[in-house]
Amino acid sequence: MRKTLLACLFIFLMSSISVFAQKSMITGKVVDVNNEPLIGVNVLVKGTTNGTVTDIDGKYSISAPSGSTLSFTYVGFTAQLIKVTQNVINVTLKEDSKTLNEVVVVGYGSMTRKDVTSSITTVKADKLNTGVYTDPGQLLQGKVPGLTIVQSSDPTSGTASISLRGASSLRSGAAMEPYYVIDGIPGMSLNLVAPEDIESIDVLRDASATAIYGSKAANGVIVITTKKGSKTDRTSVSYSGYVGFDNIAKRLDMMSASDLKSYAAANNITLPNDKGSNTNWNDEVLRTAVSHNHNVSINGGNERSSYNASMSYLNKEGIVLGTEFERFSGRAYVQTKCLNDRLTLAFNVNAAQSKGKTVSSNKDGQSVFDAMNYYSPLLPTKNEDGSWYNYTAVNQYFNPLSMIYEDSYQTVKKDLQGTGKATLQINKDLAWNLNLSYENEQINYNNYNTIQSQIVNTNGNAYRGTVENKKKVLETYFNYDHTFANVHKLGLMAGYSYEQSDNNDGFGLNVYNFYSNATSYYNLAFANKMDMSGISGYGLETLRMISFYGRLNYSYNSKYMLQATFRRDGSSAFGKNNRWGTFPSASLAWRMSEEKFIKDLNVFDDLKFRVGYGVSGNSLGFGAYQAIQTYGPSGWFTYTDANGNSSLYRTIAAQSNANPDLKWERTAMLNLGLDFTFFGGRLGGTIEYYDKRTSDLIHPYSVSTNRYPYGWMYANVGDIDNKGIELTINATPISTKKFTWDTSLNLSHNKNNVKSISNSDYSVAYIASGDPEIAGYSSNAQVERIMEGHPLGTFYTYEWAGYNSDGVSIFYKHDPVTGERTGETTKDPVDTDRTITGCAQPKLNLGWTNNFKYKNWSLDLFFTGVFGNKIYNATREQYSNVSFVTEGRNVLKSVATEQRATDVQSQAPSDRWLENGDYFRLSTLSLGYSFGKLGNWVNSLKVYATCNNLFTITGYSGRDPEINLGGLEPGIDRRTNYYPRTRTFMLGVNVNF
Amino acid sequence: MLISNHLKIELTMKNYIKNTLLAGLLISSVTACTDLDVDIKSTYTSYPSSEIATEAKMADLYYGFRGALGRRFTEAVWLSSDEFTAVTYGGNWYDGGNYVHSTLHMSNPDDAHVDWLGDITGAITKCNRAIVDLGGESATDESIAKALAMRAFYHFIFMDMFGDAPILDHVVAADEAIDRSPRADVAAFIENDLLRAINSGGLSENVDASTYGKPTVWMAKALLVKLYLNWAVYTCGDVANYEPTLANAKLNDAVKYCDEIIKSGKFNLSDSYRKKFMPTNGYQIKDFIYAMPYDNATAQGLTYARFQYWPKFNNDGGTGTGLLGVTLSKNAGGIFTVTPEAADRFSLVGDERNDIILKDALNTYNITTFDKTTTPYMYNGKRVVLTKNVTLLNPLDASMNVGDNFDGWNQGYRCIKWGIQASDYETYNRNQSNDVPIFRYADILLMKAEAILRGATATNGDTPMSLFNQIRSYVKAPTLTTAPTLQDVLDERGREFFSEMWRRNDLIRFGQFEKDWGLKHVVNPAAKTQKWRRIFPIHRNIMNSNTNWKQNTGY
Repeated sequence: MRKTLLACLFIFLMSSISVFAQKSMITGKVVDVNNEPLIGVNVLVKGTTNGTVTDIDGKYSISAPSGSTLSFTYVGFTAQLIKVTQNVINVTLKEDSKTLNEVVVVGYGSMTRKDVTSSITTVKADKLNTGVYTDPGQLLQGKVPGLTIVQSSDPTSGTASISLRGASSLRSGAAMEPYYVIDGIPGMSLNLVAPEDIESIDVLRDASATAIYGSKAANGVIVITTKKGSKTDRTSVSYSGYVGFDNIAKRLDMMSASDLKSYAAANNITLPNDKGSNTNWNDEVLRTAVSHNHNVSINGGNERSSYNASMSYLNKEGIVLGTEFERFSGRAYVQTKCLNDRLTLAFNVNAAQSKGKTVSSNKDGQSVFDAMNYYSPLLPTKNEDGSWYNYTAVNQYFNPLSMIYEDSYQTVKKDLQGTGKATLQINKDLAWNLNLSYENEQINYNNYNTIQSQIVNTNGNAYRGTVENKKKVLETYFNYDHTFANVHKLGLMAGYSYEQSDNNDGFGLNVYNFYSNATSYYNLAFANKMDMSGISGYGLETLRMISFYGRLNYSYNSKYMLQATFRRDGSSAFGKNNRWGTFPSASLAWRMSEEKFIKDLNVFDDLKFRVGYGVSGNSLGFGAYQAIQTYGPSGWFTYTDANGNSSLYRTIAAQSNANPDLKWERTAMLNLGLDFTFFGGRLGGTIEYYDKRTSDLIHPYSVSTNRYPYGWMYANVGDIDNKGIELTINATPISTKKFTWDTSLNLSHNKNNVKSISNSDYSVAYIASGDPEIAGYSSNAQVERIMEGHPLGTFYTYEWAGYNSDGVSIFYKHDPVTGERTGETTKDPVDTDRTITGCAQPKLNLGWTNNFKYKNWSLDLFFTGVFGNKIYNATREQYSNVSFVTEGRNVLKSVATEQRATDVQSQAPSDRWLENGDYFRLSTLSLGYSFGKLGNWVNSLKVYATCNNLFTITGYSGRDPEINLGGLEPGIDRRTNYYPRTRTFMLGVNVNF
Repeated sequence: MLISNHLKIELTMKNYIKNTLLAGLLISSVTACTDLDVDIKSTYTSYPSSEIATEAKMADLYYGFRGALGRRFTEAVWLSSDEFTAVTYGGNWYDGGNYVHSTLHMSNPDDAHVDWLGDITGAITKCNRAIVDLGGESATDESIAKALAMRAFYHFIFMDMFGDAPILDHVVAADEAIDRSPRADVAAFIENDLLRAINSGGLSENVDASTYGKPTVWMAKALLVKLYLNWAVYTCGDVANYEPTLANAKLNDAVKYCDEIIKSGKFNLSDSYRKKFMPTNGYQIKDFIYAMPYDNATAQGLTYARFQYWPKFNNDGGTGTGLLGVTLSKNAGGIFTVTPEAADRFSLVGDERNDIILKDALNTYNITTFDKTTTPYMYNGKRVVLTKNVTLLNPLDASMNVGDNFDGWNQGYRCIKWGIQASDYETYNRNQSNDVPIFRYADILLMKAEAILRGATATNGDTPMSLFNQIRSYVKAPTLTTAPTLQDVLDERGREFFSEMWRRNDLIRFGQFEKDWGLKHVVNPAAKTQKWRRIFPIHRNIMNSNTNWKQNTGY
C-alpha cells in the first residue's frame, strides 16, 4: 500500500511539473528497419494519458513539453523511449527479439530464453512439420540440430528411428531414443497426444539441461507442451482438418513378363513357372492411399479459470493394401485458481484408441513388401476358381495378394491417462507443486490366417493376445524464485519423484484347425486344436524408480548466469549393490552483449556464451528383472509317476544370471555454446560443440556356461564417445510490409567412436551386427561390426574384385594376421577376408526451413539432407541374384545389363552393395492462404495445400536414401520389413469461430 | 479471531490427532518412498521345490544335447565323414560356407556347425549345480549318480569333438580361471565319473518308458565301452599322431561292459531296421540303450529330413503328388547328398538297410508306412532320376555349386532313413518327432567284435563272426562264413549306423578320416594330410567368452 501511494505521488508530481513545462507540437515518422512506415504505432507522452497513433504513412503529431519522454509501442516491436529535445522526432522501431523473452521449459519449471545456460531448442506449433503425421518425431524431423529422425511411411509406425547427438548405447529401442515428457509428466505414451493439441516442443540436448531427468536422459529429453486454454474471457472453437493422398515415391524397377522372357532366352535359361501371365505385382498391391484428419477444440477461460477440450480423429490408409491406421483421441483440460488465488488446480484427462492393421512382413518369404517385388510377373493373381494362385515349387514363395487377404494382423491400443496438478503459492517467491498421473494402456493383438492361407498351413490359425501396461507417477517439488536488489535473480528447486510401471501384464493364445473361416479370430473355442507352445509368455514386469532432485539458478543482471542441478536416482532394475546413482550438472552463461565493450560495438543484439557439463544416465531398454537370477519353463519332458502313467511337464531352466553389480550407464557431456543475434533480430544463430562420453555401457555379454547357468549376462562394459558441432542460423533476409522471408538452417556433425566393448571380466573381440537377410547367406552374414576405435554402423564386408573367368564374383583376400590385402582374389572368401568398407553414420545432417509471406499468402519450403554416409543396399543385392530367375522369382531389370548370368556368388556380403547415401530432399512444400476475419461468424480461416517428399537429389540407386539410422545396425536397406516410402499431397483447413 | 473457545479446543484436538497421524504416515512413507524392492510376480526367482520340479531339473540335465544333435552337431559329424556331401544350389544354401566347409574339411572357427559348445558346457554347469543341490560334497554317489553320468557324457562329447576340455567337476566360482585339460586327463576323468555312477547303485537298471532318454546303468556302460574302444585315440597326446596300430590297454574292459549289457537281456534286435527310425519310435524299440527323444511340438530341434531328402515336397503347383505321396507346402533343403562311397555300401542282396537310400529313378513313398509305391515320382512332368556322382557346375568349385534347377537337384543320392509326418512340415516348421539313438545294442555287438579283432580276449563263446552275423541276420543281409576283417567291421558300421552320430568317430579310430571320398580330396587335396582336423576348432564365440583358451592347432 505504501509503495502504491508513493508511486501515485510521484506520478502526480511529474505531471504537475509537466503542466509548468512549455508544450510544443512534435511530429515525426515511425518506420521499421526496412524503412517501411509502421501504421498504428502508439505514441504516448510518458506518465500522461496524452497519446496518439501513427497514420497510414507512419506519421504522427503530438503536443508534448520539451524534456518529457515519448514512448513508442507497437505489437511485435521493441518499445522505445525518446526524450523530447527537438520538434521532429523520427523513430525506427526494431522487431522484438522474441526469442530472448520466450519461455523455455526446463524440466520442473521454466525460464526465459535469455537466462538459459544450457542447450535447449524450442519449436513452436507453427514451425512443426505439416503432413499426415502421427507422432512427434515426424513433426520434428530436421527442425532440431543433432536430432536425427528417420521417417517411415508405414501408417502404423511414424518414425523408423530417432536419435540425439549420436548413438550412445549398445542396446536398441528405448535405450537409444530420447525421453519424452508431456506437460511435466515423464514417460507418457505419445499415442495420447494429437499433433494439433501441441503448443510447443522443447528439446533438451546437452547434459546440463537433461541431467535434471537423471537416469533417463542420456539421449536427450523432448518436452511437449499442450494447449491449455486462454484468459481472454472468450470461448473460441477451432476446427482443423485435412485430407491427404499418398502414392509410392519410387518403385523398384523389376523385370516385366517380357523382360524376364527375353532375359531367359538370351541366357539359355528355362523359366520354371511361365504361366503366361503379365502381372505387375506392384500395381496389384499398391494403391493411392487416402487419409483424413479432424480436430475440434474448445478453448476459453478468464483470469481465474481456463479450459481446453478437444477431439481428434485420424484415418490413415497405407499405400499397401491391407495396411491402415485409425485413431480417435480426446482430451479435457481445466485449470482454476482458488484459496485466494494461491492454489492453482489443473485436471487433465487424455484418452485415445487406435487401431492398426498390417500385413505380414516376416522373414522367409512371408513379407508382402518383399513378395510384391520378387513374385514372378509370369504368374496370375488368381486361379480360375477365384482362389489365390499358389506356386509352391519355390521355397519361401507366397502370393502377396494371398498374404494381404488371407492373413490379417490387427493391433488395437487403448490409452487412458488422468493427471492432477496442484501449485500452491506459499508466498510471493515460494511455490509447492504436486503432479499425479495414472496411465493405463491396453493393447489387443488379433491375428487370423485363413484356411486358404499360404503362409500358415494349419487349416486356419487364430491368435489373440492382450497386454496391459500401467504407470503411476508422483512428482512433487518446491520452486523458489527471488530477485535481490533488482539484479540478483535466484531460483531454487527441490523435489521428489516416484514412478512405477507395471508392464507386459497379459496373455495370448494361439489355436488352429477350424472347420470354416466364418469365426475368424472372434471365437477361439471353435478351433479344433491348440498347443501349449502357442501360449504367449507375457509376464508382468514391475519397474520402480525413485528420485530426489534439485536445481539452483543464479543470474546477475541477466549478464552472468549459473545453473547447477543434482539428481539421485534409484531403480529396481539394477543389481542390489548399485541401485542408486547420482547425476550432477553445472553450467555457466555469460551474456556478453550486456557488457559495455560489446554494446559499444553496436553489432550484437544478443551474444551469449555458454558452457555446461553434466552427467546423465540410461536405464531403459532392458528387462526389469535382468539383474537377478530367474528361472522359467524351457522345454518339455515326460514325467512318469509310480503307477507308470506318463505325462508331459515343462523343464525349468535359468533365464537370466544374477548380476548384483549391474549399474547405471553414464553419459557425461561437455557442451560449449554461443548464441548470437544481429541486425535487430534479423539474423541470429547458435553454434554448439559437445563432447559426450558414455561409459559402463549395459550390454548382454555371452558368458561362459562353464561358470553360469545361463549363457548371457547383462553387464556394464564399454565406452562410446560422441563429439559434434551444431550450427543453427535464423534469418529474416527480407521483411517488408507485404513480403517477408524467414529462413532457418541447421547443420549438425557428429563423430561417433566405440572406445571399448570389453573389460577384464567380459570381453568380445567385436560384435557382429546387421544381417542383410540375403537368400543363400544365412550364417556369418552380418555386414557390420561394432569394434573398438570405430563408430557404430561400421560396414565390415568382403571387397568385391570383379569376376573370375567363369563369370563368378571374386573378392580380395586378406592376410588373416595383418588384415592387409594379399593381392590374391577368391571366389569363396572366408571371415578373415572381411575388412572395413564404410560407415552408415552421416558426416552432416541438414534441415533448412524457408517461410515466405506475401500479403495473405504463405509459402513454406522445408529441405532436409544427409551427407557422407553409406547405405548397404541389401534390396538390390537380393534382387540381383541371377539364380532367382532359374528358380522362378523376379529380379531387377538392371540384372540384364549389370549382372552376369553366371554369377552365383553375388550374394556374398561385399562392398559391391555399398552406396553413397547422400541426399538433399524437398521434404515439405506448403502453400497457404489466410482469409482472416470473415464477418461476425468466423474469426480466422486458413486453407493450405502441402506436398511432402516432393523431390530428392541423390545418387542412391535404391528406393529411398532415408534409411533407419538408429539401433545397432544402421544404414541397411532391407526388404522384408521396409514399408515403401510415399509422396503425400494434402489439402487442409484451419478455422476459428 | 472470532473462533469460540469450544471450537478452538476441538480444533486443537483435531490437530493433535492429525499430527500423530501425519507423523505416523511420515515415518512409514520415508521408508516406503525409497523402497526399490518390487514384487516379482511373473517369474521364478528360485527353483521350484516340488517333486516333479526336481525331476524337471534333472530332465534339463538330460536334454542339453538335444539342440546340437538335432542339427548343428550332425552338420559337423555327417558332412566331415564319408556319409554325406553337402552341395549348394546356385547361391542358395552357401550360408557363408557352413555346410561345404565341413564336407571339404575346411571348417573354421566362424562356422555354425561348431557353434553349439555353449549348450554342452551349460549342461555340465547344470549337472554340477544339481550335485550341489543334492548335497554337494556330502552327497552320496548313489544320490548324484544320474548327474555324474550326464556330466561324463557331456565331457565325452566335448573331448571327442574338440580335444582338450575343461574338467568341470564343481560349480565354478565367479573369479575362478578355467583351463582346458589334456584329452587323456579328460578321458580318465570321464572313466572315473562313470565308474562312480555305475558302482553307486544310483542308476536304474530298468528299461521302460520311465527310464527312456535318461541315464541308466546301461547308458553309462555303453558310454564306457565307447570310451574304452577309442582309448588310444584319446590318450595318444597330439591327435595328429594317432595311428590305428597304437596299443589300447582298455580293450578287455570294453568287452567286459559289452558283456554286462548283452547278459542283462534287456535289449535285442527284434525291431525291423526301418521302423526304428520312424517318427513313432520310442521306448518300445528294444535296440535303443540310450536315445534323445524329439517331438515336433514339445521337444523341437530335429530337422534331419530337411537336409537329407530331395529338395521339393510338391509338384510345381501342377498335378501329381510329391515324393511322399502328398503335397507339402514347405519344401526341404535337400543339400546333403549321400557320398558315392557310402552309397556303394548299400548293395548287399536282401539287406533291408538298402531301402534308406534314394537313388536312380525315384518312385513315390507312402508317408504313413514309408513304403515305396509303384508310382514313378514325377516332378513337373519329369521323372526324378538321381545320379550317384555329384557333378559341380565348375570342377574344383569349393562352393560345391550344382546349379539351382532340376539337373542340380538330381545330383547325388539321398537318404530317407528318418521318416517324417505331414504335420512336421505343415504345422511345426520342419520339426520331426523321430527319437535319435545315441547308443544301440547293435553298436555294442559290433564294438565287442571290433575289440576282439583288435586283440581283446573273446568271452562267452562270442566270436567276431557270430557277433557280426547277428547284425546281418536281423536286416536280412547275407551272413559271413569267415571271420570279418577290421575293414569289414568298419563297413558294416557304415551301413548299420548310417546317418547316426558315430561315423566320424569310427573313421578316426580306423585312421581313415583323411581318406579320399566324394569330392573332398578333389576340391581340397590339402585335407589328405591335415591330421589336426581330427578335432574341430573351438567356435569364435566360445573363444571370446573364454579368453585364456588356446585355439586348436591348425585353426
